[in-house]
Amino acid sequence: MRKQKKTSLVMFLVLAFGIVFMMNSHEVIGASKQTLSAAKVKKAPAGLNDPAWKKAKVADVHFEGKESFAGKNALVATKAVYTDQEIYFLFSWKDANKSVTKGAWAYDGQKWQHQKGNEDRISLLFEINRINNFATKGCAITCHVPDGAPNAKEGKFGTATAAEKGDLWHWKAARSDPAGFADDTWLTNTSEEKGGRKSDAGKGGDTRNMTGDKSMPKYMLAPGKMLAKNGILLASDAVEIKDYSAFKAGDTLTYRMPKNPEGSRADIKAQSNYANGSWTVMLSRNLDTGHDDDVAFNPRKKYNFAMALFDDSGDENSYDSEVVTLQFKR
Amino acid sequence: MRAKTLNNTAEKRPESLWEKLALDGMVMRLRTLEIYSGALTWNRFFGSLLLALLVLLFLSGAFMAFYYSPAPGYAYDSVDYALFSLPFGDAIKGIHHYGWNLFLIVMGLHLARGFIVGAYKPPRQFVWVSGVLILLIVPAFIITGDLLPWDQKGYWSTQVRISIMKSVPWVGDIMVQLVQGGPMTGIVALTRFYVLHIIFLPCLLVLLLGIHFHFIWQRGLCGLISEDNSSKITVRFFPFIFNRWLVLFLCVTLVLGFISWYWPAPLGDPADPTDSTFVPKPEWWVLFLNQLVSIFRGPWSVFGSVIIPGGLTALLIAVPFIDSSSERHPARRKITLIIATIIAMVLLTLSIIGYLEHHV
Amino acid sequence: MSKCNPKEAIRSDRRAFIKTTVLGSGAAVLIGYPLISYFITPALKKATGKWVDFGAVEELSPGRIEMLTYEFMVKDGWLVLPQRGFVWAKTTQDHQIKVFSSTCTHLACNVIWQEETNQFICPCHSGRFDSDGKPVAGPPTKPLLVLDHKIEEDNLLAYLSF
Repeated sequence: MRKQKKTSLVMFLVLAFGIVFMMNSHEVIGASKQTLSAAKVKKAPAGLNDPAWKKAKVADVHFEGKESFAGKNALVATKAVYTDQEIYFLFSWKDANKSVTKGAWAYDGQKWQHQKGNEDRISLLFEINRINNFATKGCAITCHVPDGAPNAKEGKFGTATAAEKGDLWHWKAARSDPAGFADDTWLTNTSEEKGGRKSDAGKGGDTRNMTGDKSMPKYMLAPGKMLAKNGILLASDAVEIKDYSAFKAGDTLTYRMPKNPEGSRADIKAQSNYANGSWTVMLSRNLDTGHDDDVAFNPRKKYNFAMALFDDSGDENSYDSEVVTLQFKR
Repeated sequence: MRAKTLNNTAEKRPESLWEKLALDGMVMRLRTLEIYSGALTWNRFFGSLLLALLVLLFLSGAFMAFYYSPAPGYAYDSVDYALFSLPFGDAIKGIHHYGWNLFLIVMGLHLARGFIVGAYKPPRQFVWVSGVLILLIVPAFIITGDLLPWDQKGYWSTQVRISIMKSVPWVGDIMVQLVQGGPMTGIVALTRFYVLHIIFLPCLLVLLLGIHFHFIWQRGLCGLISEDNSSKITVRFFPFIFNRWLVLFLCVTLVLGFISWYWPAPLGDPADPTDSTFVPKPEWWVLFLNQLVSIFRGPWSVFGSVIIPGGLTALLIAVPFIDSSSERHPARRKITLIIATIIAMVLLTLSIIGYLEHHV
Repeated sequence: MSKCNPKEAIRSDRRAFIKTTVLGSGAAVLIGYPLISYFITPALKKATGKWVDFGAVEELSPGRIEMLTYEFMVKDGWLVLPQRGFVWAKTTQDHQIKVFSSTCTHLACNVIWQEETNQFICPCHSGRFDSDGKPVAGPPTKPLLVLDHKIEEDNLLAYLSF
């Protein structure tokens, strides 16, 4: 009987070992993709330096330059944490110049002129519905209109069919960040004329600060209000300029005034800081916004996303990342 | 006179439900079925465990079919939906997934135990043979099942398996064409794999299982090697052994359910036949075969892909006829056991080398 | 019945058995032939091929090996689907072109050209081929398949079978 107990013990051990072995060897293996692990935190990070970020493992995502940045590279240190309610991303990358000008008005004593300079941006693309081969090919799959086609400029970016939907998060240093948001947009198929980018339901974006003849600004800071971050004038803090003679040479005014977003377009909150030659940006959103123009995150699932980085750029000139897998750690 | 009274009582006595259904004979046989307790030491649970796993695999598989559409692309979406959007979706897919892995492990142990205690000895030769046949169709289940989620791993593993099949001389190409229903792995192939996986192979499995049980029923379970008095004591199959099986069934369901809930069954990226970066890694059970395929090159490749695996299979089936003496005690079957151990060690070493090469 | 002649009984048994055999095989053929043809016929379709246009020859840079991707529509059973993939085009300094299939001759994984080592590498079983497609390391023994190609109106065309 003792011998029997011994054999059964051995058999249980073999069985247990087998189970453990099978668990370990059965991860989905083979792909050489980068993974971003979102750490679970009890308390949401309040800011860029919150201790919660220490829990997250950093993924250094490599970006390759496209168009005018061709041949150049960039590296974005990426982290993610999540709570029961929300997901938080933290990005930091080196950028020698903080670009938030976005064609701001400057007064030289006689006339108003747009300053040279654009803005820094970072964007993320997730899948709302499966975009064919996005998981393997990334943004390359959403960029298929040949140069010279009627929709080439606008339409370069989009999916192949209306059933394939992307969720596009677009943080803009000048046009969305000062209001405390990233622009929440989505991606659908390209049409003959237009690209596939659409704004989420609700209000948001920015408004152009200019008079009817486009020769000078129309709005200035309302009395009692303050300029937002980076000296940007928010649309909600602006009043029409009554007396243009009050301006002196060297005065500047925001050209693209961020609006306070509402509805589904206001889902992604942003905080940022530029210091010592690098940007740090934190984006946060509800795991599930309940809006059909947003990806709903289920922490049991893995998600694929790709990123683009724009350095003082107003168009598609960017640095692009390969697809990164986002997974949620328990 | 006597016959008359019998008739009368039969008319008066109300028929039981079993009698109405004409099942009374079978119920009676089950009720009176007794098994030597010597055959039932409580460490002998592999067969019952396999049956429990099989019930779980059939159930989970049948229900997964409710939400599956066998078309490239849609297949992935449907599996993703069933896994993450339905209540207990992860449990059902997980039980199927971890279930077959465990099934294969337990099957190996069942086989090893049967071998060591000489369960294949006369008169039970065909219990062994039918069992080995069941083992041999399991890979067919895995190969057809792996493609169904239409994810990267399934697609590319299938490509590798298909080219191994193709390397079989003479019949390889036609075999691949038949299985795939054409030259490529597309919708026709996926539909074929699906139908094979959910109809033809399960029917075959049930048939083989019936044969396996038929021989067990007819030839009995093998008793303890050292016959003593305890082996003469019998236990009623129904309800005692049946209850034991139910306990085992509940345990394995709970364990697998918990594992599936904690580690959802893996689902990779959707298959992309043009993706050159994906390297399918061989699964644990096929590591030794993969290593064999890598060892033999060029004109010898047929050894790795056909001759050695085929030879081992034949050897496994032929075990009861090679070692045909009625001696069951391991100590008196040293040569058989040593040869088997050497083969097992070689296969294990190959698996370990393969594991180190592909997984570490 | 008990009055039956035993010899007679055996004869009638034999007759019945022959009848069973004939009827049974008739049923098997009647059921089997349509079912088996139904199952195998599409599978016996021979693989076909097609000339695929890879664009202007001028785009190829001499002395290099470049990946050329393709996409065309293929009928798979009842479904028409784009077939995508790539080949490797080798252009010598004197503008000789060789088009290699990207399929590893070992187990059909896709090989990748690695400029640093001047080799095609197959990530699956670490097979390596030199720039002429000859196997130099790992399990492959056959060279990479060289596809037929031709130049029509300054475009490179290669014959792909699928």
